[in-house]
Amino acid sequence: MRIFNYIKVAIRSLFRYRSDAAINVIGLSIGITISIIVLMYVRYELNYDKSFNHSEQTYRVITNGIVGNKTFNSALAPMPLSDYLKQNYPEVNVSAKILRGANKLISYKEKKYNEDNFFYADSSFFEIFNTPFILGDPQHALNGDDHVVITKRIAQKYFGFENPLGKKIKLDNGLILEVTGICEPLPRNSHFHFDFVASQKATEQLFKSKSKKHLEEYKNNWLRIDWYTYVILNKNSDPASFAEKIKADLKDEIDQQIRAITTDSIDAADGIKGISLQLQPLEDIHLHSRIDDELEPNSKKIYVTLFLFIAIFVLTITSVNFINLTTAKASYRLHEISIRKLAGVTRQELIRQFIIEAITYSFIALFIGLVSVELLLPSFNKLFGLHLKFNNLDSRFDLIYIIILTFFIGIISGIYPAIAFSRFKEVNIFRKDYRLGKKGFMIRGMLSAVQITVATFLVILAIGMYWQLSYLKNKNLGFNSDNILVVERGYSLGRQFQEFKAKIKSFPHIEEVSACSVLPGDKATQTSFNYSGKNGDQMILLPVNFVERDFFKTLGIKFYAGELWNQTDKKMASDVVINEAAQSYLKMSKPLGQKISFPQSNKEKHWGFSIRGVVKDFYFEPLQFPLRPLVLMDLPKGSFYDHLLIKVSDDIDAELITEEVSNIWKDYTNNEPFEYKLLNDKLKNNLSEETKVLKIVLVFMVLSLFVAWIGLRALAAYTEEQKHNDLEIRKLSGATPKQIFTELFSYLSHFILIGIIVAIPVSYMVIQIWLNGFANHDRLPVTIMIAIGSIIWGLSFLMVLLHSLKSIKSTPETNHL
Amino acid sequence: MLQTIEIVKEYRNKEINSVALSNINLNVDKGEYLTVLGPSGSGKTSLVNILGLLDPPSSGTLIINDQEINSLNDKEKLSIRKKEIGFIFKDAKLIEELTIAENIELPLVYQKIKRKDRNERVSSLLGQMNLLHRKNHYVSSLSSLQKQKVAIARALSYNPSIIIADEPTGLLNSADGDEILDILSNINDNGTSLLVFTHSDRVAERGQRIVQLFDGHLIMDSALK
Repeated sequence: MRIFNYIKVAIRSLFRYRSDAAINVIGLSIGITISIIVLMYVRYELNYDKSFNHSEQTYRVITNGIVGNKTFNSALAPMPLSDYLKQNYPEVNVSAKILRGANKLISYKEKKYNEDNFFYADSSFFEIFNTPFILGDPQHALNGDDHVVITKRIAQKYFGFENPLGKKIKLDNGLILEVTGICEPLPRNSHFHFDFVASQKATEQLFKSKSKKHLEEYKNNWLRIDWYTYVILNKNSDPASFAEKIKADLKDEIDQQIRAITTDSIDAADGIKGISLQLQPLEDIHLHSRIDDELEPNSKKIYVTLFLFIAIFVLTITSVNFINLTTAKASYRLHEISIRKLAGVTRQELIRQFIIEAITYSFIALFIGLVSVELLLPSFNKLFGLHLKFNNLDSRFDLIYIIILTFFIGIISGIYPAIAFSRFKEVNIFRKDYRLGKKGFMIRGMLSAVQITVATFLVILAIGMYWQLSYLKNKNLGFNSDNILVVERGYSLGRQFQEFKAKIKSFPHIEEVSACSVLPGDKATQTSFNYSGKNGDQMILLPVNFVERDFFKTLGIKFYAGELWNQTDKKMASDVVINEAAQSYLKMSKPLGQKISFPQSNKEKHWGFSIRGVVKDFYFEPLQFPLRPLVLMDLPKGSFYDHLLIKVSDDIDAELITEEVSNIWKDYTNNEPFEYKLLNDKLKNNLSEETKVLKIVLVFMVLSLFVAWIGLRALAAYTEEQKHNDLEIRKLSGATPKQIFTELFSYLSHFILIGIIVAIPVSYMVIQIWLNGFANHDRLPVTIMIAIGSIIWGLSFLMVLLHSLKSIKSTPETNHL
Repeated sequence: MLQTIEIVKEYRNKEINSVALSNINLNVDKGEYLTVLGPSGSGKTSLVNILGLLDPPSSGTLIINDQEINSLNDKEKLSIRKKEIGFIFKDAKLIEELTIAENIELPLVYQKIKRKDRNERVSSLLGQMNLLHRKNHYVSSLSSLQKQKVAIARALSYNPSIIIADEPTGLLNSADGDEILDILSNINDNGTSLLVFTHSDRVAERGQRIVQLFDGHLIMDSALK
């Protein structure tokens, strides 16, 4: 029952010293709020892909290899792999391959929508990515040739209140698919998300429509790497040795196919130096995978580590503040303690009392923290594009951890004051000037220095990140992305593209119209080429973008040498344009007229290209990646571009002309939906992950500054308390307020200085590590880091001044001396 | 019941060695009302600390109820203090966060006395002090006299055999001071030994016996006159 007395006294004490207690509890609740949100975020990130039943045994098979002197690492794997693994290895329990659908327009009756998340997959897909089915049977839903499973959102969108099962949807590639299942979407923290999953056999229909031979070739082509392959291994199997086994077993098969496509003069070993397959744990994809062709952008482990450290730091510094604020008011408490001691309290009982008091404060702070989390979470999710939830089942388990954590914070925060106060001897009851020891002052000062370090670190980190993102946003990309409309699904125009182009180009504000297969800012696909270089015939990997002739004019890309290819009636273009980086990579001093060609197994049909022009380098891929060589060429006849690019004159907002373009589009596409975006928005979006992290760091920065302010205030209060007599004597001796303040600040200044000095190199290192993830970067100059440190020094000075103003101006007390 | 033999108290630091008490020999009988008179710096507080088992003497012997105290550890001293000694100070020394009743019962709480018994005892003491109606009030609402009455009630709560009062009227006017001294006399009349430390002759005269301290020396004992 005594425990309730302690709680009661703690609450009364809280009301009695309202302002100090409010700062103490609010500081602690900020720490708890930040920690809860960060821990939720960290948990969310660490639990990516862990919701699937066999996630621990699930692996993605990825491909890496060397072509020419370039390595490649791709999330994709050869098409035949999945079936091969299932048939030949007892270690493999389940295997499934998936393919992102190129089609976008889906229609049901009059409803037509462009869809991005369309996949083809084996029937075993739902054994790996198990998600609850609302209608249909996951085991058989993808068995047929023309089956499709849709999410409940899509079901609602297309079918409203109708039962979707058995309904047929039409794709813009001609396929008609029957809905055989409606399921929940994959959890938000999955490395990819689908809206539609069609049976893999449906893709075979597309080949069958061309030729059966074509299909057979495709099914056996180990060099066509365009499927994502996932396997569930037996619990007892070792993934590393299994990966070695398949690598060895498939080597002959792959080498044989490599030899078939290399020219007589290129040795297979020199051309494609081994394509090998590796296993990547499913649960590692989101935070660890750094390879090409990811289904969705991944995050980085460094962010999780950074935020975890921030949570620990914030908790530490709020606990330190609690200690400082509690012990700063030692004289009030010592009076009470001495009375309790005279009344017969034992040291253990006193320690218990102070710890229970600290735990009580922690729980009040927890309550405020939980309410804050509940209130702030929607805004937090919206601001940072997250999907954290606080009221699901998992969170109840989280709540237990949070309660344990709060106990822990209470114990940590209370233990020092408890021990320090309980050491107080009864005999000191008659001393009015009793103060805690100097050793305690040193510890508190150093802990305050840690707070300053964290706050300064976060300020420098936030400004450093902002600096880098501004650099990327303002970097000259080598092309003009302003006022360019991107219209999706350009292939809907088919052969009418040129007619459409001519029509909208006649509009007064439209300056240029063109098209491409890969948008600037997207990763370009690498293709292997043969070419005769200084070292003889070689096979090389080069990124390729298929672009329409006016692509260069539309984006303002300048030619460095040569010119654009001519219009041709041939099926395949014979001329290409390369960039400066490609010229340098190919070591061509005179590139114009030189030849490169596609490797083909049918050597008579060797597709060769002549280099007709060299353009100045431009950043065609996200700026996080280095500028790579690039080949630009026209699409073969009969193929159509994915993206239309419309350059609108700078004197008008590009979005104002979309209605006119949309009307023409609908005329030419039989009323298909018109979807557009601004190229600039798309490029900005490439920095969304970094922008999100910057926003989170900014929020933490503000909060940590607040917490550091509380900490400094606590230290100032404590110092005043410690040095009370000293300062009063100085006042009596005629010291001016300025001299008193200088004296007071001198006690604190070295701790602030230590905090700042430690923060600068730490920030420098962390920013450097972060910048290593960017091929293009600009580090915040050290001088600015020092300037930030100086500003924090100045703010600390002001803060201490404001806090102490009253006491340094007051007339000296004599009764306590 | 309480005896000091050649008690010495020195305060030492690196440079200075100051003697607060020199060879104090004192006997206090059961039920005696003793006043210790002395000006500031005479060693009164040091003697309060030693007799109240708050601070050990530098040398000499202290005996309470025939038990030598010097050889006891802190826990054993605390045990004796909890049972035998009650304190009253100049400034009442009450805990502001507690109510009047809670302040009084504090020693009983630490002695693990049952709530019911505590309540009965507190009510009885508050009745004696005419403060029963303020039982659940906080101490901040009390006058100095009332606060001192609460302090006395707290000191009596566990029926100690000795009460040590250090300047019990120091912050009161003469009328209130007299009231407190009357209460203390009544306590003594009921058999509790009373040691009042004061610098005031008027207060000292209320005792049955006066000893006088000066510069750490016991210079006069009225019993020996």
